[in-house]
Amino acid sequence: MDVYNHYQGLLEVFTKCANESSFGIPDSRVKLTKLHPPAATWYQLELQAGYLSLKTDISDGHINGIAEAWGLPSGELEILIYPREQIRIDDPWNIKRSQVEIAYLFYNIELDKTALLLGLHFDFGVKNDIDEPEVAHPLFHVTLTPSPMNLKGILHHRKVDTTRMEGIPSVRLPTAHMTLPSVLLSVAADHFQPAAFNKFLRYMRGEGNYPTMTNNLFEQRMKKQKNRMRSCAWYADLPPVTVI
Amino acid sequence: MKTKRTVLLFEDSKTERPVILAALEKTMPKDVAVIPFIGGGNSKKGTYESRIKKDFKALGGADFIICDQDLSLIPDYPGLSAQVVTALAYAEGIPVALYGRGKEDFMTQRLKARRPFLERRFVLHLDHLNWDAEKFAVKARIIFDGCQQILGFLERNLGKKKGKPIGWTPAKWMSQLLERPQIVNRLDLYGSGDQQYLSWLIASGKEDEPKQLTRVLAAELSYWLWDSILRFPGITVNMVAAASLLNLSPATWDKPNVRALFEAAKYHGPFGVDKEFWWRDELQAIVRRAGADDGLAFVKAKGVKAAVRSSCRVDPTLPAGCYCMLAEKPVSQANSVGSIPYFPSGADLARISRPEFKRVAPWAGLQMP
Repeated sequence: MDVYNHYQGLLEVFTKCANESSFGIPDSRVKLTKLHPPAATWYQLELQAGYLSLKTDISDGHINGIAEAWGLPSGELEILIYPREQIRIDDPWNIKRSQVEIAYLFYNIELDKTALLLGLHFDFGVKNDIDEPEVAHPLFHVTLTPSPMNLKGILHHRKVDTTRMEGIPSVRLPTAHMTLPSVLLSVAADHFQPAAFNKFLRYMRGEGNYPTMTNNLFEQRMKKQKNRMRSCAWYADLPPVTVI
Repeated sequence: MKTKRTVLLFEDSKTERPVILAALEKTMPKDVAVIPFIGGGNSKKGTYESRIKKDFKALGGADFIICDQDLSLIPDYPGLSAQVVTALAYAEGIPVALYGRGKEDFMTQRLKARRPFLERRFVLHLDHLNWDAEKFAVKARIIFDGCQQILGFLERNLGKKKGKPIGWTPAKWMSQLLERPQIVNRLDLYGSGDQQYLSWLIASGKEDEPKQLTRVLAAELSYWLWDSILRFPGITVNMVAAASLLNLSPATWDKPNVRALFEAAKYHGPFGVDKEFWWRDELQAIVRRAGADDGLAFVKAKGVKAAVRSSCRVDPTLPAGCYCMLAEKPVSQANSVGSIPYFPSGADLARISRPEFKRVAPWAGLQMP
């Protein structure tokens, strides 16, 4: 399978469904860089713009219901997703490392100020020599943070107020296998309109579009413990959705 | 120095021109001169594009152009087409309205069907069988006023910056013009995908004056607002779409006491006097703030006991909620198809009823979802 086309296709479908849910995404181009040229097997997967930016309006009566649900005044919600994964070029699910950072920004029109509502990163990585994760690291985890590694420069440059997230203990919360496709599905589940989410979900459930873990060590473990280490957010294992 | 604003009329029929001219002169504001383009100017050499530009300059330019689709009888310009006039208007940043004969004639339908805003023009109807030139002129006046309002807004706001570019996107300008800064992202969605929309930036030469660029931008925003934002329900809703969204029958929505409940959501921006429009978010906010499930429950709670729910045009047992762009009727989400590539991205209420979709899809390269 061609990794580039696979991810580009995924992001294009995601963008289309985001548009149908009133989110604009200006740039969703994938970038692949060889890790050890010239005969590289492992590639770094990122985005051309560095991050994906989903923007939607916040106003009373908006279809997204954010103003009412989150009690926010008029403004704009921007969700930044910054992925960085090390991936085998011939196998999109053979991932050695993955870090996907997310920041929820709220722009207040009245105050003309942007605040960080939520910052976090999903993490997964193994040490090269032993194919094992760091000691005492949950295999897959999320960490809440006011300054995600790669996004903090952007937050600083935009003078984003991070007060709301300051002081939150930096603990690692175990998660499912949250690489980029899972994170996109999770964001879609939280914020897309039902019809658009179902469309994206149908795409993800298509042949080979949703990740299963194929890192060598984990593959061996999974063979021994079938159905114990499947990735996966709950919605991926449900029966097919009703067509809407 | 030019003191009066000018509307330039391109009409080649010697018998119809005076009738249209008289109707326009009667309807346009007092400070507007309506001048017919009658050909026979000084320029006799060169391409039509260069000649018409010289004749246009000799007339002192214009603030608005109204142009017959067929101009074959204009002296010295045999076979002149509206295409040459629209190219001139585009280059000069002057809004242009084209018209064909008759309300439902082939040419008018063709003009309407071709997404006029992408081709930078308004479309007027001239019902020559009933000779209702006054109705035609009223519509022209509405378009003229809307365009002038937008130009005035840009001139006032760009003036503050002393001609320096502000760096705003068209969506940002539009959100400021409509006094709705909170909808800038949805406006951006209405513009996304229509790559032609921004082509004026590329076409604008370095020698162009800020004043002319302001006019070009004003014309672009005018076409966009008229033929995309107001036309495709999503940000605003027309009468039918408003009733459908609120789950009210058209007859219920037509009642003055029902309309009064939603008065705060009325659209009063440019072109708002042509047809009635409402802000979609405002309508929904009125219902939500009252804690009602939908517009029907809200209206009933306000004492309109005889209120009737909306019906889907395909299956009347279902409530509607959306708007069929082809039938111009209420339709349910289940019995319609959305995300039509030819529609703006943010226009989520603009759909096509499934029966219509099945009929047109094979001809339009659309796939059944």
